[in-house]
Amino acid sequence: MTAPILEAAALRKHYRVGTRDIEILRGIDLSVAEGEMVALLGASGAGKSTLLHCLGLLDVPTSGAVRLRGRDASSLSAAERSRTRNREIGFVFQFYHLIPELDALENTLLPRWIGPGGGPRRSAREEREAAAALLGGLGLAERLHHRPAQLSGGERQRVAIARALHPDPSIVLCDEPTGNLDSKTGAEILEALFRLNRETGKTFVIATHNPELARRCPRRVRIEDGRILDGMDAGGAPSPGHAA
Amino acid sequence: MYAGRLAWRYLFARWIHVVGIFGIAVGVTALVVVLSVMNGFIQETRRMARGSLADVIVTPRPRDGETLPPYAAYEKVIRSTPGVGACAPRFVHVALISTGPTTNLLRTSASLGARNAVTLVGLDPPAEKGVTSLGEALRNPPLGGILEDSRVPDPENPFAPPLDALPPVDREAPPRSVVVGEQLYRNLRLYRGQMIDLATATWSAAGNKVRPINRRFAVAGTFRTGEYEYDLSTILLPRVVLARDFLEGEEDFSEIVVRVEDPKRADAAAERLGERLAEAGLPGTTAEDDAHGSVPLAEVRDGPGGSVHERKKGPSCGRPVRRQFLYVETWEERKRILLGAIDNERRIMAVILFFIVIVAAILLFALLTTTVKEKTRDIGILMALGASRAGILSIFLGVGLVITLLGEALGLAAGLAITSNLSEIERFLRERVGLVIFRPDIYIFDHLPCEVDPAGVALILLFTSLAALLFTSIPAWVAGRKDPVEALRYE
Repeated sequence: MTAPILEAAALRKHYRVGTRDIEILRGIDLSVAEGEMVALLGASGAGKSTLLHCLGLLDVPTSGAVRLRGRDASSLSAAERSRTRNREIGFVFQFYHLIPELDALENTLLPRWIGPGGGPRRSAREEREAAAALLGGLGLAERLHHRPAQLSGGERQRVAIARALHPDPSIVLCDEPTGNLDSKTGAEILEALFRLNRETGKTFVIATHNPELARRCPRRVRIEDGRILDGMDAGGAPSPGHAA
Repeated sequence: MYAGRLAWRYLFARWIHVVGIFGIAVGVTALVVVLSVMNGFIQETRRMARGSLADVIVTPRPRDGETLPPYAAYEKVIRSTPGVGACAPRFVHVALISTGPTTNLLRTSASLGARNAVTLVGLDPPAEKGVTSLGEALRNPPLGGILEDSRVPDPENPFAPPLDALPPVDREAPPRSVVVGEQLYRNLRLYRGQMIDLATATWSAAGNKVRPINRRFAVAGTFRTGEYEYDLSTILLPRVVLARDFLEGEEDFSEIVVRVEDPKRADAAAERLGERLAEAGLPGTTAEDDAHGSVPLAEVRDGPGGSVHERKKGPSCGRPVRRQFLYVETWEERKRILLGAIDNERRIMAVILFFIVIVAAILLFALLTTTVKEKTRDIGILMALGASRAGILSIFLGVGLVITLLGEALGLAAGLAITSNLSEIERFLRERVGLVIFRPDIYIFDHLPCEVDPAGVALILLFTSLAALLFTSIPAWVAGRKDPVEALRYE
C-alpha cells in the first residue's frame, strides 16, 4: 500500500453553542492514499462537512491530528496553512461558492491569483489558456466570460470543479457536489469527477448523499454520529484509474 | 495582486460605494475651497492690514526736552544703510473734526462711526509713493454702487484744491485741502469740496500750557488703504502744511517709512537700521541710559527709549521681547496681533472643517462594514482557496483606498474648478439665484479673494487619506479575522 497522502488520527471536534458543547467528530481515524476516490457517506449532521473542513485545513480539530503527506498540520502556522490549502487542496462545495463579481474564467484563475498553487510556474497567458482548456474540457468553452449569475447550477458546479483543479492540487475535497443539482446534471458532474480522477490521478474525497456516486466509488466510508461506522470502510487503496 | 483586482470588482459591484466616493469628494472640495478662500482673505487682509504701512517704520522717540532734528539728518543715515530701498517722512498728529457748527466738539455721538477724533497724517506724496502703497490707495476704484466716485481727481497731485466740486471754491485763494479716508468720508456723509474744521492742540514747553489750534480745510477726495480702522480715522494732508502751517512747530516729521529691497528679510533690515541710527547718535534712537540699574529690562523696553539693541539683550527664554515699543519695527511687528488672529482663524477653520472629512470617513466605515458583512461568504471562499488573513484585509483596505483616492481626486478637481471660477460662481449666485455670498461693502475688497495654497492642499489630502485609512482599517481587520468555516456557512 502506498504511503497515505492524507490521514486523520483520533480526530475530535467540539463546538460550543451557547453553554452546550456539541461533539461533531468523536475520534475519526482515516487514511487516504494518493489517487484514491473516497466517498464519505452519512446522514446530514453526521459530521461529513466538518471532517472535510478539518482535512482541508480550514478548521482546526479540538484534538487529534490531520497529516498531509505525513506532516502534522497542527504544526503549521496560519500563513502556512493558507499556503498549503492553496497548493495542495481543492475544494468543491455544494453551493458552488463562486465569486459573483468574477466570470467563469476568472473564478477558475482565482486560486492562482491568490498563491502559486501547485504544479509548474506558468505565465499569465499560459495560465489563462490552461484554465480555458480545463473549462472547455468540462463543456464550458462557450461560457468563459459568463458570470456565475448567468450560469446554470450544473455549469456553476463545473466552474467550481475547474477552480478546484486548476491550481493542480494533490487532493480535491468535495462537499455534496451534486447535492444541489437535479439527477441528470448530478450525473454529469459525477462523470466529470470520475473522469478527472482517472485522468489526473488526483485524490478525491467526496462527502455525498448520492447513492449512485456512493455505488461507483471504490471506497466508501460511512460516518454516523461523528464516528466511522465499523465495517463500512470498504478499505483498500486501488491504484489510480481503477475507480471506474 | 488578487487583492487589488477583487477590491476593484467589489468597489463597482456595489454602487453605494459611489456614495462613499462622493462623501470624500465633498469633504475634500469643501476643505480646498474654504481654505483657499480663507487663504485668499488672509493674503488680502494682510495686504489691507498693511494698508499704507511701509516695510519698516522708524519712529524716533526723543527724550524730554530734546527736539527732533530735521528729517534730512535721518534720511542720510537711512539711505546709506545697505538693504534700504527708499524712505519718506511722515508727520502724524491727532485732531478733532467738525463738519458744521457744534457746541461740543468732544462729544461723540453714539450713532455708528460718528466719531470725530481723527489722525492727521502729513506726507510728501512723491517720496511716499516710492515707499508705500499710497499711490494705489489714491487710485482705488470706488466701492461700486455704494459710494459715488469720491476719489481725488489726480492721484499724482492729491492735495490739489477740488475745483470741480461744490460749492465753487475761490480760485484766487483756494483753501488747503485734505484727502479723507473713504470710511470716514462715508460715515460723516462728506462730499468733495466740503469744508471741514480740524481742531488740535500743541503743548508749549515754555509756558507748560496747551495751545489750541483750529483751521478750515477743503475735502479734495478720498483714499482707501482697505484697512477699515485706518480708512475710518485718517486724514491725509501735505506734511509741510501740517507741520508748519497748522501746528506751527519746529519738528518737521514724526516717523519715517522705509522700503527695504527684500521685504522677506525686513526683520534683518530693521535690525541693521536700528544699529546704524544708534551709531549715528541721532536723538531718539538710543536706549535710555541704564543708569537706574534697578529698572528691570522689561520696563526699560516698555519705556519710550527702548531701542533695537534691547532685542539682543533680552533674555533668551521666558518673557517675549515687547517689540511694539521699539522705535524701528517692521509692519508685521506693528500688526502682529491682527496677523496672528487671522492666521489662528484659519487654523480653527481647518480643524472645524476637518470634521467633514471625519464624517466622510465614518461613512466609509459604515459602507465597508456592510460590504464586509455582505461578502462574508466570499471571504470564506477566498480563505478556502488559500487567501491569508493579510490578503483578505488588504482586499477591503483596497476598496477603502480606491474610494478614498477617487474621492480625493474628484474632490480636488471640483475644489480647483470652483476656486478658479469663484468670481463667476459668485456672480452667478448673486445675479441669477439672488444669493449674495460676498458683500463688497462689508469687506474691503471688491471681489471674493481666493488663493490655493499647494502645501495646504497636500496637507488636506494627507489628512483625508489618514482618516480614511484609519476608518477603513477597522472593517478590513474584522474581515481578516473571520473564521473561514463560519464564513462559508454564512447566508
